[in-house]
Amino acid sequence: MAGGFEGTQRAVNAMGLALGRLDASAAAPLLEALAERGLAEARRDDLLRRLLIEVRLVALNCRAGKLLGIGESALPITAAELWPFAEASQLAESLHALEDPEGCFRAQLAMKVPGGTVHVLYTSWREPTDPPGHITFGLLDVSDQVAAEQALQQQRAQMAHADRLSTLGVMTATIAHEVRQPLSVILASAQAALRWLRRTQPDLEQVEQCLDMIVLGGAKAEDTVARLRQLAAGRSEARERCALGPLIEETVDFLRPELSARQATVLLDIARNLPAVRADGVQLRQVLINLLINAAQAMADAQCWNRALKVRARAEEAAVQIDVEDSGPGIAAADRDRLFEGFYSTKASGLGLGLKICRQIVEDHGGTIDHVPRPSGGSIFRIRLPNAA
Amino acid sequence: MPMLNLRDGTRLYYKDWGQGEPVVFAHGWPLNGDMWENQMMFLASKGYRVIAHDRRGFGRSDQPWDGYNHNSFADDLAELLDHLDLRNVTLVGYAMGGGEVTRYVGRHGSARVARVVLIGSTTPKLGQSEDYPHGVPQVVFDNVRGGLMEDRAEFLRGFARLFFSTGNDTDEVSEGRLAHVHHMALQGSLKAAHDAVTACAETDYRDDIGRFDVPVLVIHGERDAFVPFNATARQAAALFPNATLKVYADAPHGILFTHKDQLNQDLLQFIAD
Repeated sequence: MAGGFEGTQRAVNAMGLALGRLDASAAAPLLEALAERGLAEARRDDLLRRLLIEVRLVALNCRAGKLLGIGESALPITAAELWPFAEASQLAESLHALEDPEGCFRAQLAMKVPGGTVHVLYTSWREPTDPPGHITFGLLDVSDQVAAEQALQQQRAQMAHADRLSTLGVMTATIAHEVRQPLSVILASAQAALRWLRRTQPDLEQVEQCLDMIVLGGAKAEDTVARLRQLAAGRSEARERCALGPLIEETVDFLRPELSARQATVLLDIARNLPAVRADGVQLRQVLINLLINAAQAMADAQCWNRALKVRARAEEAAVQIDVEDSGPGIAAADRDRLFEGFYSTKASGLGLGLKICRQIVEDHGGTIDHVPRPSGGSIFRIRLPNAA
Repeated sequence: MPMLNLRDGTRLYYKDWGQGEPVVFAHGWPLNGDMWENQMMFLASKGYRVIAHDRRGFGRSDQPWDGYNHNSFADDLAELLDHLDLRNVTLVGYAMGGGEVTRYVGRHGSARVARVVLIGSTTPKLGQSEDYPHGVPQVVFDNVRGGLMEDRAEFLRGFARLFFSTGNDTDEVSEGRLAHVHHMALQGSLKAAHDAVTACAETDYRDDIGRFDVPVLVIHGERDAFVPFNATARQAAALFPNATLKVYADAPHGILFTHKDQLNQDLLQFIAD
């Protein structure tokens, strides 16, 4: 293939480096125009479009040719044939090396190749041997890495979903209670309504009251099912202004049967006028449910003689701090470091995903979650979430 | 207030109601003799002499620095029975009081004793050990001592709740009852409560049980959160030479209060037999 790299040929071959050269000698006026301040978007796009056509790929080594799927005989070609238009401004930046011989530019790009794209780490600089207006670039194939990252993202979402489902699995007491309670209201009201109707003089006012109760019970059941479905649903990701006080109260209220099944008593200590946060309510509930059930479980498993669970919420500087505190046995120092790692659990039945997912969710919200040991052995899980702007 | 001066100068409070065959009650950690009020009222009105002391360090008894182990508790009880010169006694022990009466028989014999009732009792052993795998893990007691040392009053408030708890959403306990248990618990000393946890956890009564020659009634709440049925009563019933086991279904530790009528009848029936 076309030369220019002969001096370092052996090193290049040994390391499998993909190298190429761009001729941007015709692009100088375009670059100058692009540097202007207050450029209209349409004008800028047009300049970039022309830049991709004016800049030409004039040399590739064997490795780069294979990577990009371009044969030697095809050269020169326009940059537009491999450089995605969405990233054209990166090309403009890359060409600044023409004025700055010491400079070096790096970017991750999805380059166009026959039949698709290839993710590369693109590095450009000026070689002393480069003709005027030319720059040299190297490509590192990072397709595998990008694919792995995408798979990881997908896996994380799946894990968070699995965690919600498994949380639902342990929430049997709550679910049974939440469903049974409105059902028994509906049943009792319906029976009462029938009795009022079957009187020789039916009392329609009473029947109306009974029907109102049935509607209320139905609405409550529907609301419960909707909440459970939200938890069970695969995706949410909607960020909105959340008032944390009511969210905490609702969640604790919702979990009450679960907590009392583990003989835990709950004390809420929520400051008034907490600032709102920008959050996905379903995900924050998931975090709280995880922490609360964990705490109650820890105290029950450890057969604690005092099973007090406290949730405290305070406004801190530019953040809201939520403490979930238990009077359980606490977490051994040796386990503390690995607490938020996946598949690490001190519970015999635990998958060890709960806290990892809690941390992921809280960090996705720009917050932090940490474990703070209590002097007598209990645990505090401390969440800090930034205030909504 | 009747007080007995014990061998080390500690004054032991006790109450002594009614006339008839004597029934002596030993209370649980960390309460006092008042916890027996429903049983004492009932049996005294049925023609029995009922006696309950406050264990050293608890209730209205003195709060000495030491002596909080089961040999010492059993010796205190022996001094009380000797002092009142009681014969044909029914000993009723609750939780750690069950350990106390069991150690009494093991250490002082059954000359004064007609029968023994163990309710929610820590016999044959509460804490887990290599030779007693059924027991409660030691870390539980570390946690209890830690909670007492950090904030005894708050810890004991939680204790009072769990005293009545079975984990069913049907649990119902009046605020007054919770306050009563909490109050009794607060009346004891920190040192006594702290040391008695260790005594409860570590004392092994299996040798005492081997020396029993009187009938025993074992009563236990199935969902006792402090003294789990499987860890204690189930094992005890198999070890005593002559024991009857009654398990109260879905019942908590505090059956003296929550199941008082059933318990009173079972006591009366066993004593009258």
